[in-house]
Order: sequence, then structure tokens, then C-alpha cells
Amino acid sequence: MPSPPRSLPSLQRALADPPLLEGVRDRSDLAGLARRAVRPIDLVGHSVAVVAPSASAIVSPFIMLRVVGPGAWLSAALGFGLAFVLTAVFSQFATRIAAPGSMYTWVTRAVGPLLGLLVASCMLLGYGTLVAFGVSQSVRHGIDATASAGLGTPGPVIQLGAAAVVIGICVLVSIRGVALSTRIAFSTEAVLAASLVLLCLVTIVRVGPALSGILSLDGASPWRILLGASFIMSITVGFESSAALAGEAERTFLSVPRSLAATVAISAALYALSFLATHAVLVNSDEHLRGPAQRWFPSSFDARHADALLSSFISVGYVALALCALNALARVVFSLAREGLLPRVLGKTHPRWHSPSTALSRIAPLALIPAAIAILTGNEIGSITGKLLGAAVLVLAVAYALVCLAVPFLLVRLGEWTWPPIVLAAVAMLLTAGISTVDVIEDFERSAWLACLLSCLALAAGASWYLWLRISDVAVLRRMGLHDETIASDLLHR
Amino acid sequence: MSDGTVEKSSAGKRPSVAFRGREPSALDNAFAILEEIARAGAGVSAREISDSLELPRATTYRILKHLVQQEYLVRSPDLLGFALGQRVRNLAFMVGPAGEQA
Repeated sequence: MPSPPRSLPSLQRALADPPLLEGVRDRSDLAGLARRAVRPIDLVGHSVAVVAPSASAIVSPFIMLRVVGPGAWLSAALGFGLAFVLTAVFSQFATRIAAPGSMYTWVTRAVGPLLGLLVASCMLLGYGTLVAFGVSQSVRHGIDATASAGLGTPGPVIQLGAAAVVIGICVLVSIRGVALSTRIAFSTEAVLAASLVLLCLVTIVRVGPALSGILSLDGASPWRILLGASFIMSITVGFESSAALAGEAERTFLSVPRSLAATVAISAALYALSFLATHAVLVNSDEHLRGPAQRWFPSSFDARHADALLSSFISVGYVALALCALNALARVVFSLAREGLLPRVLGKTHPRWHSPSTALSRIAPLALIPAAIAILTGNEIGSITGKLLGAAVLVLAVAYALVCLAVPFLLVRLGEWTWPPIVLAAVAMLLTAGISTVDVIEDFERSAWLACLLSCLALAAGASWYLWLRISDVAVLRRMGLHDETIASDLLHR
Repeated sequence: MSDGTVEKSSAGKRPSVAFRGREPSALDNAFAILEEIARAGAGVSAREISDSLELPRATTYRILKHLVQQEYLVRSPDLLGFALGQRVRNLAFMVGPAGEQA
């Protein structure tokens, strides 16, 4: 058996006289953010909040069982399986590059600024939609809760005011610092997840477990199974948002990949438990006429109270979503501003709390636009963002596919390529493209074109952005790809 | 790996057993990589480390990734090379007076 090293002479010399590394500076281009301030567990809370698994697990299994029917479990396995594969692919970047621009910086570093700007456009649209969705849906479910509790339905002005209050709170908490906002996200998600687990367990005990036939594929339609997988993709979208906090996370190259994997694992576990409970309710309960909310409670429980309770639960989940999606979006905007791709003022940070305060305060009001339009046109406050979210899933799926495409380029450029991650990236790209294509075909059959239109618009905006910079300021393009690079204090020093 | 890996490396011999980075000797290899980076100088690439130590590339990349995640190593700003991180000094302090004196 080989013996361990008896001495490490070069290490001893390096400790005595630390070597210099060319190109290392005292401050990075991202100076001003709270470096190494976010605990790993809070980072998981942030990512989980954007996926909002507790809120979606209340209704998603009912939808899946109704829309997909037999084989709904296979759809979930496919959808969450894709998310796990994407996690492994994104970790190729997250273990090497810590950047508030996350996906767009990864792609820029691997392939160049053109594809980087395409991804940046997709991220701005995708994360922006997630913020607007979180704000309007939190108000919508809050209204449902008050109405169910017998407090009446607030008027349009109060609804819009409530949306402004939600986004205002999100901005204030975010400006106060990333450590606080991620801690709040983690605490909220912990309470919501524990509540959901309790609700599911009580339901299963109440109606009795129903495992027989739960994995049956009798009468299953392959097409509907694929559609179900695309639905699961829509409820896991944004799982990578914690990567935007990489520059502010402790042990970033360890904590970010783990947060991505933990987010998907937690979402899958909550979904699976909720699916078991839902299946048990549908098989063992004769309360089919009751609504989704009341199905979670015994018939003796007041239906209005059941609605109020679950609506409040979902509303809180969506506030956390808005908070964390806003943080992710603000960091992408901050990064673009520091690169010179957006006005420099958006790259300012708070002098005391080290948050991207200007980006947060300037972009947040935009999240109110869909809610305002919906109310002014006499529609329900969440009607527009509900449709936009479906479209944003395709936009972000395009970004995911481009990230997968960039993996081999990065590994070859760094001289660190091996076959397994490249094969995995190819599989992830094909799966993402395949499941998205099923969704697009289904959209066209229903004459729904919003997702394709927005995706094309995002890509066209990215390409135009690139062409404009090629003409007006090519130096900005050459500098693109700012990340939290090694600074002098990270290096071995005295 | 022995006294190890550096001697084998300079002699140009390959390890007799295929190494996957999951055996207990992974720790020895991690120290060998730290020593190699200290010897070769800051900015040495993953491939150069793999070639010098005659370790399989996948194994080298896996250990490098782990050492970077634990902040014993850092990447150069262009991401191509590696250098010793400040946590190596913390390790030396923990080892004892010898490390501290160094």
C-alpha cells in the first residue's frame, strides 16, 4: 500500500513566500456586493422560494391527474428527471464561475457575447415575468382568502394598492441586504413545506392510503404524458435562480450546485407526497363535488374556511417567489450594468447593506404593469401574468438549451473536457428541446401563440442588442463575462 | 501514491492501479496536487497538473473541483489556471507549529 507524503517542500516554500498570480487585483469589477454573506441553507431557501413547490403542490397533482390521467406519475418522473439532469449540467458552470449574471455570463464565457446576449434577453424576460407573476398571484390568492373568510372582495384600487405594497416590501427587504432576504425566504419556505407535509399526512391518514394502481399505465397516452412533463417543467422553472447570488454566497462553488440540486429534490419530494395524498383523495373519497381546496379537509370542515386557509398559504408562497425572483432579476440587471450593457447607474450598490439597490428600486415598479393592465381592462388581477408565465417557461427553456449547448465549449476552452458531462449536456438539451416542442405543438393546436412570440422576441432583442454593440461599442462586447473573479485576499498570502 | 506522487511523477511512471478518486488515497492525491501547484507556480492548468502527476484527467479534474469548492485552491481570473488559496494557510496552522513557522 502506498505511503502518504512525508514532506511537502514546495508547499512549505509557498507558505513562507506566497507566490503571486498574474492578473489578480485587489477588487473585482463586482465590488460593492456583500461577498460571502449568504449561508448555504439560506441559498437553498431562495431557490426553493422561486420554484414555490408548496404552493404548486396544493393544486398541481389534481391538474396532472385530470389532464394526463393514467401515467401522470411518469410525467412527473420525466419532468423532475429533466430538472435533475439540468442541475448536473448547470453545475459544470456553477463549480467554475460565480457570477450575478449566472446563465448569461456562463454562456458568454464559453461561447461568446452573441449567445450570451440571447440568454441575457431570455433571463430578463423570464425572471421579470416570475416577479410580476409572484406579485399578482399573491394578491389574487389574498383576495380569495379574504372573500372566503367573509371579509368581502376588495375593489380594483385596493387590489392594485396591495400589489404595490407587496412589491414595496420585496424591494425594502432586498435592499436591506441579501442575508436578510434569503433568511426570510428560507424561513417562509420551511414553514410552508412543513405545513404541506402535515396537510398531506393528515389527508392520507383521514381518507386512507391508496397505492393500488397508482403507477398504472393502463390507457395512458404518450402524448399526454409528454404534455404532463412540460407542465412539471413549468413548475420547476427558475430552480437555477440561486446561481445569481453566487458572488454573495459562502463557499460559492460548493453551495450553489448543492442549492440547485436541493431545490429540485425538495420540489420533487413535496410533489410526490402531494401526489400520494391527492390520489388517495380521488380514489377513496366520495367528495368529488367539492373543490380542490375542500378536498384537503374533512367534510365537517367549513368549506369557506378551507378555501381561506389554503388561499392564504398559497399567497404567502407567491410573496416569497416575488421577493426571490426580484433579487435574481436585480442581480442580472446589476451585472449587465457593470458590464456597460445597461445604464451604469443600475450597477450601484447600497453603501451600507451592499445590495444592488438601484437595480432593485428601478426595476421593481415594472412588475406592477401586468397587474395594472389586467385591472384597468376589467380582468382579474392575475389573468395576464398567468398567461405570461406559460410563455416565460418556453423563454427560459430556450436559455436552458443554450446553456447546455455551451458546456462542451467551456470544457474544451479550459482544457478540462471529459465525455460524461458533454454527453449529459447533449441529453439535457435534447430533452429540453423535445419537451418544449411538445408544448409548442399543443399551443399551436389551441391557436395559442404567445409563448412562441415572446421567445422569438427575446431572441430577436438579444441579437439586435449584439448587432448594435458591434456597431457602437465593440469594446463592451470584448469585456463581457464579468464574474466574481479571484482577488488578492483569496490567494495564499501572509 | 507515495512520497510519493512527486517522485513517481518525476520518474515518469504511471500508478499501477487505475485511480478513480474515490479511494482513501484520494487524500494523498489531493496533497500531491497542492504540492504540484506550489511547485509549478500559480496559474498552472488542470491538464499540466494531470500530465505532471500522471493522474487520469477525470480524477485530476474531480479533485481540483473539490479543492476549489473547499477554497484550498482558487482559479485564475481567466479561469484557465489554479493557485493556492488562503485556506491552505489555515490548514497549515491547524497542522501545528511547523506549518505556522513555515
